[in-house]
Amino acid sequence: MTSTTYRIGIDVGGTFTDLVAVDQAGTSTLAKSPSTPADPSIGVLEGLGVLAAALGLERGTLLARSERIVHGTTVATNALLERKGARVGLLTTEGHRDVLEMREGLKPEDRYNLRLAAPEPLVPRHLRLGVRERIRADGSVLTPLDEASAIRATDALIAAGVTSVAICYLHAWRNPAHEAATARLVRERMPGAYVTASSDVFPQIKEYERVSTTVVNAYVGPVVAGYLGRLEGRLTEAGYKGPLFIMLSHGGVAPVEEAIRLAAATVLSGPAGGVAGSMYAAELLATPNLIPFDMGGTSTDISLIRKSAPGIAIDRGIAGQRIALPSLDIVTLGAGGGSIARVDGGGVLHVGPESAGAAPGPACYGRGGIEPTVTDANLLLGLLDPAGLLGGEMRLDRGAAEAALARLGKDLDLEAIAAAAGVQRVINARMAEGIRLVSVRRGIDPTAFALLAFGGAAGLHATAVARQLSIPRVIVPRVASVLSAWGMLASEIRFETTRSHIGDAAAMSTAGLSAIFGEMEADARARLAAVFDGQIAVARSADMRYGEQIFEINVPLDHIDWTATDLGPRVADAFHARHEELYTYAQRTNEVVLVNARVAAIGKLPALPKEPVLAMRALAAPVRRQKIFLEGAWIDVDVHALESLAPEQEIAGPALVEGATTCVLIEPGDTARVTPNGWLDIALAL
Amino acid sequence: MQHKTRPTTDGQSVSATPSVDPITVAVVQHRLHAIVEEMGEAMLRTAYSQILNSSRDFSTGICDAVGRLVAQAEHVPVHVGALPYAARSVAEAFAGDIHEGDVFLLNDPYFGGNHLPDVTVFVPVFAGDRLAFWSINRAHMSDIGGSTHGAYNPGATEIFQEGLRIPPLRIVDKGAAREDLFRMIATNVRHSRDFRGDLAAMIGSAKLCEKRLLALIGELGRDRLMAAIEAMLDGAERRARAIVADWTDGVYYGEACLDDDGRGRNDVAIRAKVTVSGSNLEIDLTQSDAEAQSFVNSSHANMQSACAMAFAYLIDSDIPKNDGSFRPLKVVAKPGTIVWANDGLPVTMCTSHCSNEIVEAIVVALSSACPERAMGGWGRRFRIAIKGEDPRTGRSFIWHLFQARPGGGGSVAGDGYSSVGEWHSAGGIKFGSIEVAEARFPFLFLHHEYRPDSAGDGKFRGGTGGDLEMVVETAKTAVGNTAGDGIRHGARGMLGGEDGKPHHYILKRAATGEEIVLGTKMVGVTIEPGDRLIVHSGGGGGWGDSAKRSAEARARDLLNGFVTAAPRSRTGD
Repeated sequence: MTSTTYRIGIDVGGTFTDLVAVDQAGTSTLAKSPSTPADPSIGVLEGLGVLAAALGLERGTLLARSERIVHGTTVATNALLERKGARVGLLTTEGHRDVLEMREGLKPEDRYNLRLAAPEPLVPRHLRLGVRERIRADGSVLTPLDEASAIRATDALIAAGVTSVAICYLHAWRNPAHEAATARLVRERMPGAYVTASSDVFPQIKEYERVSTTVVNAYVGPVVAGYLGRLEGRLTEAGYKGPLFIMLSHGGVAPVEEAIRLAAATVLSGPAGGVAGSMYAAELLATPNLIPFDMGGTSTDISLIRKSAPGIAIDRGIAGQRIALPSLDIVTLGAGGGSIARVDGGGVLHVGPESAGAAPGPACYGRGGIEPTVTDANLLLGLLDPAGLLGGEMRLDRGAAEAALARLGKDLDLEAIAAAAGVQRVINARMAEGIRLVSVRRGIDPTAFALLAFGGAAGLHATAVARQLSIPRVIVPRVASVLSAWGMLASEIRFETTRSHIGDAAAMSTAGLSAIFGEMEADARARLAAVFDGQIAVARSADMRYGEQIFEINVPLDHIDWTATDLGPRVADAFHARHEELYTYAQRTNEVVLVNARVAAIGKLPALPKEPVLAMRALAAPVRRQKIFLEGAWIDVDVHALESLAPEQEIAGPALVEGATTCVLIEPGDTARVTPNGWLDIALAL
Repeated sequence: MQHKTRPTTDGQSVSATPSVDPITVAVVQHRLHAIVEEMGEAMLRTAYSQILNSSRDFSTGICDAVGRLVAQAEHVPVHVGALPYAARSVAEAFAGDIHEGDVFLLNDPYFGGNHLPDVTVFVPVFAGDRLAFWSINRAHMSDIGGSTHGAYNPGATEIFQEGLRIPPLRIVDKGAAREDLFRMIATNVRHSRDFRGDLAAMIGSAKLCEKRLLALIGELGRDRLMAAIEAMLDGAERRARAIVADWTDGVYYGEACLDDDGRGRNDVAIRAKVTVSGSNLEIDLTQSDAEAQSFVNSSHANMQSACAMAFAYLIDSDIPKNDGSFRPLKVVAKPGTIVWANDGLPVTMCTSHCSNEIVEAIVVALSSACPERAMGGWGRRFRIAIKGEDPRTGRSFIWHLFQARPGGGGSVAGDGYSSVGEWHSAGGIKFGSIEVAEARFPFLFLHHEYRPDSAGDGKFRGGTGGDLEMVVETAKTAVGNTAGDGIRHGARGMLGGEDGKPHHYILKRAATGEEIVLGTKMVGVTIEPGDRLIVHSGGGGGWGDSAKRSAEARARDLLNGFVTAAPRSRTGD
């Protein structure tokens, strides 16, 4: 008899590390343990101990029996947000050392505020040094690399205590030779330093995007390398022999070496788990169109799964830094359960972006917070049980919430309870705007989607938000952390390659196009094959635009016949069709410019077993009645315990359903059905 | 002497509406803001011309039936406050004859436009059978006809040389496009295909706004929505008034000068007499110099915009830009002056000059009333357009200089932004990629960095300007036109801060090595193959006494090369 084997998903958050082990029968076991921000790998190993204990195993035994670990980390994100990355030096083409700080002449911060200090760039000007070399737009060499000048610049960086070096020369997207030679030279003189070149990180035209992405890579690279190195070491020491995969911003996973090389691609590693989980949910529910709505304490992440695929963006940034690598299209709103409500000098109510956070927390936590928050409003409205969050571990102080909302109400000339209802309406309106951002503004009608609500604060707002947008269906998973971990475990290994090639798409020859994509595919396959011995799939696409437009659209090209003699016009046709889909019109007589060719090599990991369904059981009765304030009046509603509900059980609104980590409001007329896996599937009365 | 007339409400929207709860007001304010931002995003993604999709030179907004500004997206500051004049102009021209499905067009600066290249599209939005709103999109077209490409014509002596004038015009009639008019307009501009693409994008974005407003009217009902908007405007007014009330009462004077009018008159002065009285602010520009026979004149709407822009910079940036927030402001001006030219005179440069000087004069005046809110001067615009043939393709090209932008001003918050632009754009205009420029145009950019020693010193210094050196790699002679100001006057220092350095542009001949200093209002400068354009743009003005600048800040400036040491070491020996 073979013993049970496991796959482990680990999601390190700011406060807690969530771990999930899934065995070959699909049974999942959860563990939660405090995160250790100074070195998160310590918390991971402690969490693995807790997880092993939950399975009745020694940690070493669990690890020895585990065949895969997938990890989502916020190490890079935090390094950027807290400005705790490496001391970076930047080598640029002589005469062009300010591209990073100029940001193409834009001041994206607060247009009408001329009383702002300019933000500090990640690399100060004295650590940005010009090197004598120049490549032209066609890739030819105008000025050969002057090695002496590169050495002088490198030595100056060494003297300044730099530990990480970014190299970005003009037109290196076209000809990487000077960058490669410089990187070799820097590595020789600075053994142990993190060295990264733009042609390696992001070989695309537009120098600002490239230099910014490369600098972010250099800034977070050493931090990510240090952390993952320690984690690998500890895991090996503890008995783990399998592969460790890291969740990347684009929703795929990559082995540790790749995550270190392309550290800038890990900045959305954390929220990517939630999207991966949503993809998994789309499959489990056979619902290919979902809007993941992850509402937490201080912020809310919203994305879109369409035809079972997540939206990808290439114009993302974080903490004011531009990162042009493909990433999941996640919109983050600075509002959540802990958001503070206030009234401005003109008498207008705002909720967020200030948040009470975990400390002092909402007024009702009784930890010294006095500002009214969304959670305080929910408590006053009767939507939260004063007996406590987290299964009664923490009592909530209704009096404190009422006092805070009474103060808010005074500024609005409203009773405390009306102010609380107002806070709910304003936060719901903001959430609805966030969903419009990822849907309506992308030319997508949200009414054809279901809202997938997870995160601690989502359940009390999801139905109201969905109703505002005429979204007919809200789905709430049983345990959100399992969802993320399952999603991470189900993610593919993905290597993205890209190359700029500016030209008229229709005029390109079949041979020319095939050669470009063929070379990129060979390169991507080789890189993936070095770390993965399974089946490899390939996805081709291109970023294109009409002649004079500035924004490119990414167009998938997998369905095209690559042997057709009129390949160029077919590629152009694919663009016309996509443009029409997005913006309602195409201009078929106009030139289509192909700007970037993209190839992704995808390694399919062995499929996960399905999450087991719940056993049939008797319908569960409500656990109590509770008074809630809804639409201007107090009403009595049933409260159900999520864990005890039977598959196919139906609950008619108004009602509340309480889970271990969330509470769900079902509004009058709505009906919730319990799925075979114990999730809530709510049909809205619109 | 005239002053701005403020529209009165039709008497129905206020008295006949129910009272509205403050929560609905908050929701309406967020929704309206989201709608105008969405209009802007749609425009950005679908527009054809680089000046729109890359440089973002357009604005989106909503006015109510009587032309009061209800919401405006934050794009180009110089458009703020101008839209109501245009909306009223259209409403008056077509009074009693405005229907669902109509689309109106306008660009004439003597009918509420800023300048001819700024074309404005209006879509009336009805609640039932009553006009409720105007959805508005104003965009700077890459060409509008006239005798030079791109409308900036330093040689123009009358507006007819600047391009096609469009008074209020119905371009779509109850849903039916008036194709003959579209064709007539497109025929009169260069690049008519791009023009029509841009116009389609503008109308599309305005129709999108109509759709969203109709949904909002459907949700709340007209009366509740209008009541919420009244309350929202009143709220913005209260916030703006609370700020002005804090300023020291008094009468203040400020003056700013254009270098010249391009016709031999130097130091054309804009004079602002600003009166702070309780929560009211009056800006009186009547003592400004006489109008010019060149494109530095301002139109009436543009002058109003410039005053609103200065006011918006001095209050808090998060106060919504709407009719309410501008209620404390009264503007007094006189036709026949540089800030309000008589019908028929050219005005194309006014969105930059004399807008920037109007703002600067107002900020100078108020720097004694609210020193913590005043900021050092932002740089001036000095553009150059080159027309030639690309030897690699044989195609003709027209290129506009957007690189090497001037610096922003210092402020109480710290040093100014470097190389970020002018008062009228405030960092809202992008110069784009040099790699893309080299791929598209026959240019080689040898150098593009911050310009050391260009910032005005101060407790908080200005931002630096930019240095640019480029080789024009044509095979035949190319031609350049310039349009701008600021080679004699730098961005103003405030409260003891020093002025930024002015611009200094040079054309260096390949054949002879001769260096020709470029003026700001030149037509037909010949550029030979291999000639170099060497641009040093102005820095921003400093804020506060430079003696109070900290030693750390000075050491940091030296370390980072924002300032150089003695001239000897600057040469590198």
